[in-house]
Amino acid sequence: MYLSSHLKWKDTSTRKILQFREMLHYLDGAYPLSVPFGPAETRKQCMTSAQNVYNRLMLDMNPNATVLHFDTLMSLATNKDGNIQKEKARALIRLFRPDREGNLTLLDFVRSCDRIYKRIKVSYYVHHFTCSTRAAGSSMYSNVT
Amino acid sequence: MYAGKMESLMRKVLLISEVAMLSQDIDLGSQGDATIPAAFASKNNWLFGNSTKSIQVDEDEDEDETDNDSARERLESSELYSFRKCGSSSMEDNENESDADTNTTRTKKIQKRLKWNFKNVKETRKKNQKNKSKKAILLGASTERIALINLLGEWEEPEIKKKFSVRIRVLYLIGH
Repeated sequence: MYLSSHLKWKDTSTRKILQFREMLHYLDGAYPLSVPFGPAETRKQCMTSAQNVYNRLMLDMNPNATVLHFDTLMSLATNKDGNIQKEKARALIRLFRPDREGNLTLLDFVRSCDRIYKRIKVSYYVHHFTCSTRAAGSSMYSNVT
Repeated sequence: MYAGKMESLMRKVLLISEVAMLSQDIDLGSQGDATIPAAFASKNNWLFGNSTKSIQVDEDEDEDETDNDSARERLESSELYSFRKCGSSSMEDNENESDADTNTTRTKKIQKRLKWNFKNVKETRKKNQKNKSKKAILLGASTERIALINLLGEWEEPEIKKKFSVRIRVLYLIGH
């Protein structure tokens, strides 16, 4: 019983490590924020593709509207029955931070995308940094012994 | 701790990708209203165009039978034919009448050409104006992008190449 649980735990840990590695590999590509978002290898590319996404979302609004209303994004958090998934809605609001009136400007949208892009780059860099230091440490340890 | 942060980051990435997919759907929907039915109608004609097409074909067949008869009438009514006719008739009829006819046809032709030229000029002007407006929009978009980058502020991207320098530093520290 103990052994099986132990093995199970080990299995999950290896799976998680593999998932983590796969995730990092995904984030390293030219499309870290998915293919429909567009290329985001550099910061400028990320901004331009974010602006393109915003412009595409604006097609759903009235032609006279200048700012995107959050209702269009809230359609992602609605079920087939029409009920709102509260957790997803909260996550969307936390991510994009619309006004009290529910307006989302282009600058806010691009800023939120830019924030995520920065976090991706930093996390990828931190992962490489830790890997490199570990490798350096192990190589030094082998030389000493 | 680190894995939890990465999980939250990935959730946010997934949300952004969902938003991007939604935007793509909206874009396709907006395009589809105008283009897709037109493409279907032009290529297949199986949905709406069948009934109208069959009627049109029948009419065309009827017209084909009478085409040979009506072609002559059209030619006779056209100016070119009348011009030649006038030329041939001038030999038979009085010369003054024929000259008057030729003059009228020539004036009509010149007027038509002038009209056509004027139309061309108008069309080219319209096209140029459209191109100019497109260029202005593109320029505006590019300036907006530059402004956005300025508003968001500079940020130095971490380069992976730095890891080698870090590795050298670590080796140096461990060595001493």
